[in-house]
Amino acid sequence: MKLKYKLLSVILGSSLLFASGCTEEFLQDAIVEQQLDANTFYQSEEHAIAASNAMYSPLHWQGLFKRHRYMLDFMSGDLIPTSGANQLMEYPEFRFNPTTQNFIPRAWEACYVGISRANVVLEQVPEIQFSQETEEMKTRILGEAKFLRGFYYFNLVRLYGGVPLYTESFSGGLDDPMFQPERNTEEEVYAQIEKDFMDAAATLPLAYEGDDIGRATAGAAQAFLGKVYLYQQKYGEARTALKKVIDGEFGDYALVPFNDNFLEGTENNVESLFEIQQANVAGTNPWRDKDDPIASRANWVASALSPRNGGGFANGLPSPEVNAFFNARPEENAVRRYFTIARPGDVWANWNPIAPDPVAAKQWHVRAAETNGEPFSAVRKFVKAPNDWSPFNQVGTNFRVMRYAEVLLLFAEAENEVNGPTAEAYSAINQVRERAQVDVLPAGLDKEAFFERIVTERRLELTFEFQRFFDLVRWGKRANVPAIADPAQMPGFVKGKNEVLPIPEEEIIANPNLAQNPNY
Amino acid sequence: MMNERKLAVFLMLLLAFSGHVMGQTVTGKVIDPSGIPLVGANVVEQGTTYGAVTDFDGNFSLELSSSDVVLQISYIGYETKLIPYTGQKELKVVLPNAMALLDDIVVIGYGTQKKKDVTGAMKTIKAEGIEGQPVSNMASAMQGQVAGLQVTSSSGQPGAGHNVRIRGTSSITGGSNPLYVIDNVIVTNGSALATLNTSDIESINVLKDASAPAIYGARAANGVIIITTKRGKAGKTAVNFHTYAGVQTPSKKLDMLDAQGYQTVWNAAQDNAELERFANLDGTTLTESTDWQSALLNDARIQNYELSTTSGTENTNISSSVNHYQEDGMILNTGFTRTSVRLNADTHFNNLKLGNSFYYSHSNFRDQNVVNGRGMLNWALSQSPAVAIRNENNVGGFNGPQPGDGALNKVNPIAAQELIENTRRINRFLGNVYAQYEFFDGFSYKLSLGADMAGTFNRYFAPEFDLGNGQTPLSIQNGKQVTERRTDQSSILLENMLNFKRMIGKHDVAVLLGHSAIANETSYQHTSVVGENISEAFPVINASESVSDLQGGRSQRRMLSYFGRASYGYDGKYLAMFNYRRDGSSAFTAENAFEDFMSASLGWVISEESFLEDGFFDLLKLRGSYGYLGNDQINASATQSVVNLNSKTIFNGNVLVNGVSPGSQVANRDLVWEKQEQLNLGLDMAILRNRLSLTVDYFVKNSKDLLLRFNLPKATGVGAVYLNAGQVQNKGWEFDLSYGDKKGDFSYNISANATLLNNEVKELAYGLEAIERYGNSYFVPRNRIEVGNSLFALYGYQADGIYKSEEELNDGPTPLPGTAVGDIKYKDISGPEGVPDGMITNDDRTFIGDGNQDIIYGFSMSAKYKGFDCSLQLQGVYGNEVFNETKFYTQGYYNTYNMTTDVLDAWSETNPNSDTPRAIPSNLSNNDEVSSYWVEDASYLRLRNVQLGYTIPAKAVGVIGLSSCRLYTSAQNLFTITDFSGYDPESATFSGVQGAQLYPTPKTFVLGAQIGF
Repeated sequence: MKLKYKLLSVILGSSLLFASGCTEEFLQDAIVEQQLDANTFYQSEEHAIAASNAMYSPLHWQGLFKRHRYMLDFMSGDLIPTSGANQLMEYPEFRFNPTTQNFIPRAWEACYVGISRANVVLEQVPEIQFSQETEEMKTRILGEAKFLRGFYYFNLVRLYGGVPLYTESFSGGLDDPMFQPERNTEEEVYAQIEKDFMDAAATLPLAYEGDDIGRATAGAAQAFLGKVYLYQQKYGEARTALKKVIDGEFGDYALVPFNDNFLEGTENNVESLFEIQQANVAGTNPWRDKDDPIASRANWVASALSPRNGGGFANGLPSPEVNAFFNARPEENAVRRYFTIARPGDVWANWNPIAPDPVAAKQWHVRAAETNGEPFSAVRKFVKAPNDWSPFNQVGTNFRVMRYAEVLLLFAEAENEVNGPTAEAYSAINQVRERAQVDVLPAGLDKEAFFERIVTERRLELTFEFQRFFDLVRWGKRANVPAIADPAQMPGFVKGKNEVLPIPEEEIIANPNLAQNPNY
Repeated sequence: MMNERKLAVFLMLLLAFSGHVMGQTVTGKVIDPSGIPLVGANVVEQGTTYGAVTDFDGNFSLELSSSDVVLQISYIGYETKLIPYTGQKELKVVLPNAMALLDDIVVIGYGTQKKKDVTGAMKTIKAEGIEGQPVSNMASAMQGQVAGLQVTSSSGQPGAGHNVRIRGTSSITGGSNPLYVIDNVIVTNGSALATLNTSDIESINVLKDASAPAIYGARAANGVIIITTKRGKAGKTAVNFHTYAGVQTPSKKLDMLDAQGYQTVWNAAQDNAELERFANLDGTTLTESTDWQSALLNDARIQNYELSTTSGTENTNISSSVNHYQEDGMILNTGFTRTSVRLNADTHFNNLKLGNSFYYSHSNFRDQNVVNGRGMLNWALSQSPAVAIRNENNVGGFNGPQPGDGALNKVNPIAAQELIENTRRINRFLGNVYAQYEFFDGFSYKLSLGADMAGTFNRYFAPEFDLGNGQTPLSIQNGKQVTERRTDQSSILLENMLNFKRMIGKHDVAVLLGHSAIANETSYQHTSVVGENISEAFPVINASESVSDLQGGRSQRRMLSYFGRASYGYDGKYLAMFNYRRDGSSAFTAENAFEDFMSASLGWVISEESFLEDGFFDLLKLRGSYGYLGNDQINASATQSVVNLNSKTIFNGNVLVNGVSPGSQVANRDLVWEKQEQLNLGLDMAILRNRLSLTVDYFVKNSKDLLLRFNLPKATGVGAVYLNAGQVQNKGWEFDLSYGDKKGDFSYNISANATLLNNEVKELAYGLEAIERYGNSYFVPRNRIEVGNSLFALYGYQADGIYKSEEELNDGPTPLPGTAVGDIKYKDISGPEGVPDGMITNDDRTFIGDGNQDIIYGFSMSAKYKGFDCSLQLQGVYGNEVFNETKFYTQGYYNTYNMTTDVLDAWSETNPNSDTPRAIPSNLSNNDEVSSYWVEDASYLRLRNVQLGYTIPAKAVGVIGLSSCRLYTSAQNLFTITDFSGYDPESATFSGVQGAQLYPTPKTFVLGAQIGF
């Protein structure tokens, strides 16, 4: 009997002990994922830096510079799709609609995630205590946030028009007024972009050293400020802003050999104001998008457009139209056509030369033969070269978003609109031409003729940098639109509709207050 | 009196002396009805302390006090027998099995109940109901056996899981799987079923309404399935061997085009699109035709071996089994093997009872590869029959489409299955130990400690190979890859219970009080190496130069609960039960962590009333229950803000830096439990001496505060928030009818069940108009959740035949741009003003089907005559539609995929009466819009199992030392009647959308033997 009770008391005792340990703390102590709580983050300088890095991450997403950017040239007509672009066939000739996948919804998302991260930094970092020596860094981080917010909105406004403007982070509650906001006007969005770039230009450093190279600089902010003005036909402000860059107020920029703008070995050179730092060091899987832990942060466009047999996909080829454009200017064969469009006979690394039939010679991917009877040609700018053995879709070449040559062209355009073709305007455009080893512009052009020269020059200089769609739409808003600047020349373009993409259908479902763009 | 008695005693003594009775011994043997000796049975001279215990052979020897005595022979689990001693020298006592009595006990949560006292809706499947079915997963054996239970298998892959729903799906984002309790251990992971040996199961009790499940509170909203494994029975020592082996064959193959047909169809498509024909389809190069489907899909073997023993004495019993199951897959190089051991034991001395259930299994899965979200059979259907499988000149020896064959980006499924190692191994331990102490009769305390542990190891190794066309052969990686992933899951459960049960006069009272704590933890590590970093000789992680990806994580989840139950019965006529549980979960914030759940149920056994004593009804019982349950199957971090540690970026050209940003999910601190209110009204009836029995249930299940992972507008910059978003109602009727009889040596049983199920979204919170789901990179969302419709309503254009003439095209509403004669005609349903506007636009999308199964039904029959037995089970569903992706990919002219012969009938000028759309590549027409053209009725009736067995007479097998031997043959999925054109109407589960990882259900034929030693 005694033993029985002893045993009993042990069992009861031990279970009661456990039960008393099982208070509500038992529940609260459960670890949720191996991640930090947002309430305990944003406490130190390291946190501030990590938060600032995160703002750059969406630049690497598929919707922005990792993959879908070249849809813009399917739209402009500079690129024609091949069978490999199957999934993306709705972009050529503006065949897309609000439910179209890939670029339309993904660019929208990437930009807005970037904006929300910038907003979080702008809210949280000022509260963080920095030491006296690093107070400068705090200013810099806030400047970067302004720059990136402006940069993401500039992409949004050009792609979708007036969009909802978030300048504070979203609380998460459905009672947040920004849960299902209506659209802001294009003017309101541009006003915010100008303000952000202005603030950034005033606070960011002129340059960086070491492993900070690639962060936003004052020069980048200023150049984009000028570009933003130009997009709104605010020519005077554009001229003033860009002149400051040219005058060296924002650091020393200069032109480098043309092709150095598109190679991996010459990244972050003196011509570059802002570029997407891409590399094949991160994840292994290019298909994974966004912040997936194994998503690559390389340049997929470089593989998608590369003609290389093995590792290149030739998903898009130079259109007959863009070939004809360069063919009409044989002087460009020396530099700009040569490094923009590859053709048989050219030398490209160990293709010495590119064979007359590079597909038969197993140099090029079979899709490079899908030229509708036109001679062979392929995109060369930025793309994976024959001697580049980086794995599938893992090319590390940085995509240059703003380079000094464009600053000169933007300035020339603004100057011409304000003052006509002045010596300053001539000088700017001629620097770009001289670097391309072609003759300077003839003297005595009038304002409209000079404008047409700028239109042509931008195409010569920037083809396959995915600017042409934006340029044509922008020029379409000019008082006088010459034929070569008319957006209607884009195949399938419908005026009053295709100036912008549709708002993604899923976004309109999630936010019924969002009006669709006209005619979609 | 006194004197008479004395006299009698004296006379007896005299007799005894004269017959040497005093000290006389009676010997005998105690056996069970099957002749097995009972070890440790009590033999007592009634009214005395004279007694004996049977020995190992069931023999006893007892000295009697007199010759006029009554012997009482008792044994646990058997009926006690009283035998008057009449001078027998050698007694042979057969104790009838008390099982007949035990059979009427059902296992409910934390206890048992007499079946006749049940007031809730439940159905028990006994071992016989699932025996002999050659299936790896218990769930598929349950199919069609219980009204209200939906089981569908989305894949015929060996070891694949099943979707199990009790009374419909009632959650949007939260889990809808029932709670599984195996030998008192709560198992949260449904995949436990694949790792469980089906033959170990003694009974499965499906609790459907709110009454009994309420004792599981927050986890019970989707119903509870209580599985009890076999335990030893006192006295019986039995060794059984069970084996079966057989073959599986694809239940269906699609009628694909051969090379000639492929050439004809794609030339027509290219011509119609005014595109150049594919060079290799000019009629000159075709020499042979490849049947990719048959190359991948083949007959496969299945085999099972199992040895089980049970033994016991009155105080201790043990049951154990060892099982090896091996199933090859029909898709090349897929398969599943499982080896398991089980040991259940109970022992008691004095008032203390101790016991355990241990189960360990080791499972190996060889899975089909999945590339770009599509399985290998999908890829086999896509490949051109004009392309050969192999080419010795390529690294790896395989071939792919070449320029001139059509699209190049197709995976060679034979290469992938032959070259790539894709394996998964699960080690699982499931068990519990308990101690129970009985203070006095009917009042006891029980402490139970349970554990469910699973370690999973995935390994993927793809060597370098190419298909000779410049394409990456798997469209993902260039070159080699090794990936290893280890996942560790553990769940520890501790429970304390006080139990009181007493019959006081006609009042039957029982009370249970309990406390429970569960701690779950999941952790994982993922490592991957690619390309040249992989060692040639040893393609494993630790022989590699450097690691490409390294990830890990850990999350915990805990639950703390208090529960109780009170039941009361009066005279077996009036029954009442009340269940209660207070649950706290770490998934919610401290303010919302705890919630009370409860149910009440009443029963009235009318047939026990005096006014019904005429005996027409053997049983007539009315039941009713109402209860309030919860569902906590949501992301453990739904109420937390977590930061995203993967917002990495690059600086200085190639330096990767870490970034931290708010997670894609924002916290909703106000999130509360998903709740459910369920009303159940039931009727149980038995007539004709219990030969005919009928159960009817009506239920209304309202699920409220539904947990929804709500996708926020992307513009907010955060992805999603968990909301309590709305209300869904499942209501319906269940019928269960059974008839059984025995005439001499012939006995049979027929049963049928049917469920009518209606699923309706009642409310969406926050003014949400609709929630859309099931979109992918090719299709817009195909499911639209809207008030008034089912959760699985399909949404898209309404197809209305095809345009057969220019006039038809011009006269009707303006079609989508690019529509031509021969294309699908869509109906003009609406417009911006809400009325038809003469144009086909997004506004014309409408409801085009419903994935909800309106009726599910089952029929089973079994019969026995002497040694012969046979059984069959039919199962079916009715009234559900499916967006048949297979039809689109095999009839939709997508990316030069091969197609079924249906497309040979395509509309053309020379075939103007056809209703099949014209030949045109999918991306150049609007035929690829989500429309009713691709939606099919997925109703079916399937012969799930048919079995024929013969038990060799005991005498015959006794000669060779066996106690029993049954030989049988069994066939699974012998036929299916359906209008669905894909492989398997079941493959779409409940969602109404078919997945892209096809694996047809096999037809299985086996021969088996069950041998008792």
